[in-house]
Amino acid sequence: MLDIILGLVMLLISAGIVIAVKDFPSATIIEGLGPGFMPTLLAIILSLLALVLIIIGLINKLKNSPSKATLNFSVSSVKGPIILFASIIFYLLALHYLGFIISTPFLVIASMIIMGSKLKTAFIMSIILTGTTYMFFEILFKVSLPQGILF
Amino acid sequence: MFGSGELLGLYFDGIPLVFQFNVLLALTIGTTIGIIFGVIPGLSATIGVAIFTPLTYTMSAPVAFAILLGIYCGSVYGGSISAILINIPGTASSVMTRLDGHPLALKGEAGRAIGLATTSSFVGGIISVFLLAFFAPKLASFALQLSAQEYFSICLFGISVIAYISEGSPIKGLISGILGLLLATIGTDPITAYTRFAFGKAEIVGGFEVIPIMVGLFGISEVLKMVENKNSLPLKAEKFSRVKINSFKEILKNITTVIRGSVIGTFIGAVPATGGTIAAIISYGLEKRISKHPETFGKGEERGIIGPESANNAATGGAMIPMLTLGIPGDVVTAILIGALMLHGLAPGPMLFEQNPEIVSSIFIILLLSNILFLVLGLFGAKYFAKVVSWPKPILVSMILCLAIVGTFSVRNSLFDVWVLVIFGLIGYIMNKLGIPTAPLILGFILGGMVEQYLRQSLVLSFGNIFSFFSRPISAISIGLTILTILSPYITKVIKLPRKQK
Repeated sequence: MLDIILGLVMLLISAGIVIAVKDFPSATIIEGLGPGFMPTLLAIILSLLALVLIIIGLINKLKNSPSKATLNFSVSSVKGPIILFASIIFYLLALHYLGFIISTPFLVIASMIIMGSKLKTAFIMSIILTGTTYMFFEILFKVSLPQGILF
Repeated sequence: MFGSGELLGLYFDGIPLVFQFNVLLALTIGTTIGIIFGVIPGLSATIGVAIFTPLTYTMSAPVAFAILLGIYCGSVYGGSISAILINIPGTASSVMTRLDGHPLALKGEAGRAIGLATTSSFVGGIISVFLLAFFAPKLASFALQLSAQEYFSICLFGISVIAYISEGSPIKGLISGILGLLLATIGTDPITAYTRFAFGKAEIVGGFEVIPIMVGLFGISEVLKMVENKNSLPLKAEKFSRVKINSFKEILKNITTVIRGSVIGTFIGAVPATGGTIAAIISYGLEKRISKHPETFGKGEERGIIGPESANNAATGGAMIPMLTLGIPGDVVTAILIGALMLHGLAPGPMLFEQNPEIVSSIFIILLLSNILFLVLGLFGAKYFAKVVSWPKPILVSMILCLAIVGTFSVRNSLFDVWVLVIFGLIGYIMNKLGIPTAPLILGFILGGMVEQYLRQSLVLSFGNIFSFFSRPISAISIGLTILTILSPYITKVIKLPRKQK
């Protein structure tokens, strides 16, 4: 089932590419060899592969054989990754406003707590890690880390 | 062909570049980090080189390659330590070392097993560097004469091989490769300078940067995976007091195994997109088949360690051959190293040998030194590296996360790149979940520009005649091999089918 959905998504992507390429200027030397040539060619190959994927998926479904590509996750197992990903997104937004030094400790604490660390260790690590990263990049590598627009 | 003077330059011009305090220091740090990344299951050469590549941006090219190649060689070796001590390959390429290494450790001979793995890794690595130094210049001068058609077909072969050998179904591997090629078409068309698929975003008019995509796919996605597997059992390492140094004698006794492993490793490594893991598997299989006592394999046979370990480290030098001479990566790590070369304004390929012989030379020397370094570090420090296995995962995760984000930001001082990094981290994680390998995507993305340019050039030159690809032997062979690779799972199915029906 999953493969069929994947195949359909790939078909949609191919279709989107073919539609987007329509506005591209055509080539001057040889008909069809313009900027749209490669994307179109790739979209065609992608859609063919997607069709194969769908057909195999359908055959497996008709045979009622348990599909090999079952998603091997339970909600609880992806909870951690989802929370971490959300924290990273918040971090990036915070980076824009609050800058590196204020935002980074929160990301470190969040990621360590998600991994099962104690709050105290996470707190200490967040200061050490932010400090060393800042020193390495700002002072040693002379990279100006985001200051944040509020300060 | 390179003249003898130029050839000497390729070998010795790098000496003054490499034998400097900061380069040697960087090499030591890199190799140590590499061994640590190799030892820790879940971290690998790929992640190590990926997250450290952006950090090398401000460094000089020799310092950067000292760190990155050190990580590469060190981690391929380091994997054997955890394979022997905890029966889990620290890196994929030490998967065979486990089979005979761990039984030896259970017998209380962990020190001997690690000694064997260390010395054979060293010898394998050194032999492969010499083979690299011997073949690369020849291949580079040959590559200078390759036509657009031939380049295109070789690239195509590389992508199809990696799609086929990656985990998961070959169809999904190919889809991944095509998506990578498509990703490369975003931005300015190399021939007509028309901007494609940029959707008004100024940041991607020049196309996506390699670094954020790479670090996202191989760094951030691995972090997400580590979070998911956080409850995996605590690892227990077999104890051992010290590494046996007299293992060189045992290596000399089994010198034919070492040489076989090294040669297999170098050549398997040199085939685009294959790498140390396959080299180790083939070497193990061969040693078992030609052994007079195949029944001892899997029970602590020393050749079962020596063969695969010399092969997987030899594959590092081998993988550098197509990467340096053609600009086509031999494995995923060398694909990332191409990104690193580009970061330092160097284009891998035959022109590198003509324009920057001192860089090529320093790469040879750095590889050689890195192999010597991990030998020393391994023989005297394996005991300490073994302790790394129980390093607290929360700290590792937050450290890798910080390094990946700040490193990617530092390359162009761009928060946009960090967003790309994070998005591709999620994409990589989802692809892993769906059983779509990520390696073909990055290979397709890196080769995409080249593939498109060569394909269109050769079609323009031949007035759109696709059969021109079959007019030259190398491109005809490569395309033939590509088709064979893509169809091979179905061919084997067809051959097997009648047997099943019996």
